[in-house]
Amino acid sequence: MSEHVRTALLLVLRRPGVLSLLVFVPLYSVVFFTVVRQNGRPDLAATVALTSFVMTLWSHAVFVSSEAVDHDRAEGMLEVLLAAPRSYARSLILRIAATEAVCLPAAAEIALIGGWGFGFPLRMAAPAAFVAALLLTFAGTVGSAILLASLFVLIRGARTYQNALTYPCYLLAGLVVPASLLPRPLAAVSHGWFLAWGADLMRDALHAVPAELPRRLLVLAVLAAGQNLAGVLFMRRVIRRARDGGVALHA
Amino acid sequence: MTAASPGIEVTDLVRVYRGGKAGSRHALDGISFTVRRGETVGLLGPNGAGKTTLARVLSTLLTPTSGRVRVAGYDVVAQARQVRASIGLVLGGERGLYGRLTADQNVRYWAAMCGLGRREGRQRTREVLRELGLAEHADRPVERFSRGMLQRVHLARALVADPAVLVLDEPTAGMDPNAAFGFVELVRQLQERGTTILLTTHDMREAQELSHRVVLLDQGRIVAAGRPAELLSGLAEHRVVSVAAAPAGAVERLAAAGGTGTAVLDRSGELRCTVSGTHQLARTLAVLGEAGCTGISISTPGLDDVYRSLIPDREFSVR
Repeated sequence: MSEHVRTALLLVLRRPGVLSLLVFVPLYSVVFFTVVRQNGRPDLAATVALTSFVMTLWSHAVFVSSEAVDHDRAEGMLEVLLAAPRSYARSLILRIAATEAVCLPAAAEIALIGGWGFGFPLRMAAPAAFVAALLLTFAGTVGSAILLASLFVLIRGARTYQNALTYPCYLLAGLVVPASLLPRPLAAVSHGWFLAWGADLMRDALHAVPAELPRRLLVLAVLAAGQNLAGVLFMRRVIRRARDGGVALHA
Repeated sequence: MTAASPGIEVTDLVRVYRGGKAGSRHALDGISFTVRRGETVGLLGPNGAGKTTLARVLSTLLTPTSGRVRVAGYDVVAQARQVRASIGLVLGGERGLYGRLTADQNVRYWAAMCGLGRREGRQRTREVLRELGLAEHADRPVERFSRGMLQRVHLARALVADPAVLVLDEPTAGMDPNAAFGFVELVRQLQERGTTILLTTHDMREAQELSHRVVLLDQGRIVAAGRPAELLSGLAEHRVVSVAAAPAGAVERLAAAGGTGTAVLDRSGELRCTVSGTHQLARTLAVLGEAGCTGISISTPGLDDVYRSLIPDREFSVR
């Protein structure tokens, strides 16, 4: 394991508070599974489990992984790390990816709640397609966290809007209602967003091999790569501004 | 470091902070100086003089507005990566480390940021922590460390990749005297190994003890530079007469007597009078004796006297 990844994991594990999301967000699944059972629709259980998991993935990116740069600044580390011979941006990407990966066990947590707690049969029809879509969606959320991490440093007070980046994003990703039911402008935004494509593909993979799988995987890969590119470019800009004295190096 | 290059070479360096209602501010205004290889140069000056800005420019944290800066022969703008690989930066203060991580974990992460492989990083971390007397504390979170120990971790981090040049930015600020003494001893060991060091400090005694040469900076400009002995030569005739607990009215009696030096009384009640020449010294001692002063001591001027003679006290003066 690289020192960057190890450091990221140590920083998360030594702040148990940041893991609270892994406890609270899957609780959504309890609510959702209860509704499913109440209405006698066990066929929706897998979809509901997936919704809870994608919510966890996204909220972990917004509330935990995106804190990396701000945390470095609060500890007085930003200044030090910018003076390091190796790229701070590269280290940060590895650290954010490692931090984001910490939320992946939530999938097992939700499956256990659904399977053991509620007795729903949670199976996936096309596991390979599901895993491929999951990996690309994960990569996209890492890109989003990189973008947000830079944004939180560049724009003072941006963190105030962290909460606003959850529910609207769940809607846009088609997690709460199908994206096709969204008003036209919002549906268009949703159609260009990796999270909506990723959630759709994983949802379909639960029931059968998704139609047009290669094309959809390719689109998801392009959108996730675009998200990462945007994040990295924005982060480089923030680092350049920091060197020009345009960003406070201390909190 | 390239064979013939100085450790640090600063030529006509200007750094301007722009923006804000106050407009532009010249933090560094055309300074030039050189630190030879293996030399220690003390950078002195009041708060806001530009010392930290200079340390940041040297470590590529800030880009110069104009002028040329080379560290270990590399240009800080065009060859920033090589500069970062050649320099070790030690910042004063309690921050700059991950508090929840141990000393070992902090230094190992930095070793990775310096491009050391996992095994080499682990080995070098062990070595520097042992050298700096932290081996027994390597597995404790640094948030539980004392100020002196924290500064040793900062130094361990700076040394893990064996840099050619070390920039120490107020490294003993806030340390108790024992910790500061211990830290100074560590710096001496580095000097013996031939490390090039730029030391920014407010502690004149520390600067005088450690520096081969000193540079006095005020409002972004160099107001004096040279070996401590050279700077003190201008004050060769001067002596400082101190009275630990001066009785009331002693300062006024000196002023009224005439032919004495300039006396000041600090908040602790110590009277300090700088005199020039034997006659003034004798006259001052006589007046102090008549005023009932005891515990009089006479000392030669130090760098702090040079500092006070060149840099006016703006922070506590009322305008």
